[in-house]
Order: sequence, then structure tokens, then C-alpha cells
Amino acid sequence: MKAVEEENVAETDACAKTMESMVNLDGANIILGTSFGYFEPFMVDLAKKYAKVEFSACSAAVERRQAPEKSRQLFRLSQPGPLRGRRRGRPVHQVEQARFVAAKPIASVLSNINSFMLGAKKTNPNAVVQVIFTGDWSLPVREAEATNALVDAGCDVITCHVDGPKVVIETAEKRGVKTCGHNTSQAPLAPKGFITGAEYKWETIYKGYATQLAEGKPLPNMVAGGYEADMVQNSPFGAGASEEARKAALAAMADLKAKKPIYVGPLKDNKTGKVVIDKTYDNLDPFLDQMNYLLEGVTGSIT
Amino acid sequence: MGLLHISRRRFLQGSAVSLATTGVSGRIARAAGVTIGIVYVGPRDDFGWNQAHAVAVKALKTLPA
Repeated sequence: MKAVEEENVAETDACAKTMESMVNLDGANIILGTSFGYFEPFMVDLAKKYAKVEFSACSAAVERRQAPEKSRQLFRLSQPGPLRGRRRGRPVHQVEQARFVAAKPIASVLSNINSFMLGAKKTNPNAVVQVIFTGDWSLPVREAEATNALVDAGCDVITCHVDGPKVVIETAEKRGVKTCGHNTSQAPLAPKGFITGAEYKWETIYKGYATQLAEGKPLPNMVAGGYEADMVQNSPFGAGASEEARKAALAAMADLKAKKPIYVGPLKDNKTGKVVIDKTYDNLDPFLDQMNYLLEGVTGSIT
Repeated sequence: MGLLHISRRRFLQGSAVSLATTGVSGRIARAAGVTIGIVYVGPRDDFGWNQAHAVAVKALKTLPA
């Protein structure tokens, strides 16, 4: 299959120009825009202009902003819900003090943190998960500062939800703290402390698109899934994963494959003590995409 | 890096006429099946979000055309 790629493309006119030339010069049938800021107005406008080309944006935020009546068939909103699911699959076995360096307090990130906490507490009810928000997807200096501050204050494991976990993982490794990664395996950056990480498996989604397009079938307007759909995976265990941690992680993954719910209600937020999750929800229930709170059990504030 | 990126695309745009005239690469790709265009906001080897997509695209390239 032919694939044309372009990296380091800003969320400006530049992305529209790149995408348009992929359509016109490379004959692309489908454009995958992987950054949130590409979506509006750029991909929306291009989708109108090139009705026969598929435009797919991957972002939870896109999904929320696109009301059904507005989201035209042209858009595939690939938001693998399992961000919340996969975190549970991580072997935070017997962790006492876990720390989270996160970008922005939006739903996908909050659900990542909340489900990480629920997973940690499953193996150790006394586990403490504290979060620091840096404010944006890629702020390496702040990420390093946050990591150092969290290590200074004392902790066993650090994880993160930022675009490039490199700085967080390397900093923690240098300071002798174990890590859980995000997006891809950071094991090469932390040969001693890397436990595992939470990854999307874009391959499943993209291969699905390719097959459907080749067969002339319409693409789904929205894709969501988790372990049960092979849309997420854990990074291979690193040297930081103990035997017990591996066992706990594999058990959690088996639960998720069996669609066992992560959020077993009622659950309260960590600010007002009010019930925010009234009942037990399916892992892919759209209700969970509206998450705008940290659950009781997480230390930290979204404001 | 930014300059390099722009120049590559500009170069392609500059050679659009010849491509259209000869009708080689674009048309063959379409006839052969699906061509996927993917745009990343960062480098493909960022140990993070961009790399995760790039790995998937690499796997797609192994699919028969």
C-alpha cells in the first residue's frame, strides 16, 4: 500500500497545504490528520472541497466539538476510548506513591489519570496518585521541572500524558524512579526503571480504513474501542516490571478484553465529594467522554 | 527542519505539471488501490504520539497494494 507522510507540520495553513498536495499530487484517497488543531477549519474545509477524499481526525476533543448534525460523513473521528481502559492494564502493582505529569485537564487525559488511580488502588488500596498539569501537550522544560519536583517530594512511580514522554521518562530514570510510559515504548530511555506503557494501536484502525476503502465500503463515522477490539496495547514489559507487576497487568488486560467495567459507580470527585459517576458504565460509554473531574483518590486539581 | 519540509512540498507542487502530463505516479497509485496521506505535528521519532502513528503507517506500507 502506498502511504505518503509529512512530519513537523504546524497546525496552521501549512497543514492544509500539505494535505491538499497529498490529494492532488500523490493521489491520496484518505488523509489522516493526527493533531487536534488540524481539524477546524483546515480539515473541515478540505473535506468540503474534496468530497471524494476521506478525511480522518483523531482526537477526543474533535468528537466532543462535532455535534452529530454537524459531523458530516466525511469525517472519521477515531477516538479510541481505551485511553481510560489501557491505563488500568498497567502494572502499578503495590505502588504506594504514584505521580502523574499531565498536559491538559481535558476528558481523555482526566480519564487516563482516573483509571490509572483505580488500577493502582486495585492492587494497593492505600496507593496515592498525585497529578501535576503542565498546561500543554509539549512543554519539555515544564515536564522536567514537574518530574523533578515530584521526585523531590518522594514517589515510587512516575507516568505521564504528554505528546512526547521522553523528558519525563529520562528525568525519572536519572533520578532512580520507575516509570510507566505513553504512546510508544520508552524502554530504551529507561533501561532500569521502565515498567510498561499505554499505547494506542493505530495499526488496527488504519488497516481497517484501508481495507474498507479498497473494498469500496463506507467508513464508520466514529471509531472507538479498547483491548477487546485490539485498538490499544501495552508496551512490552521493561526491566522495572517485577514478576508480580507483570501478573497484575496481564490480569487487568484480560479483564479489559472481557469488557469488565473500569468505572464501577457510584464514584465521587476529589474536590466536592459529590457523586459524579452515578452508576457502573461500559468502558466505551459516551458518558465517560464527558469527564471533567478528578475522582476521589487522586491528589491534584484541574483548576 | 521547517524549511526542508516546505521546500519538499513546494518542489512537489512545482513538478505537478510534469506529473499531470506524464500521469505516472499519481494515476498508478490510484489504480492500484488506496493511498493514505498522513500528517504529523512533530517528528516521527519523538518516542511519543507522532511515533505511534508512524509505526502504524510503516505497517500499512507492508500491505499489498
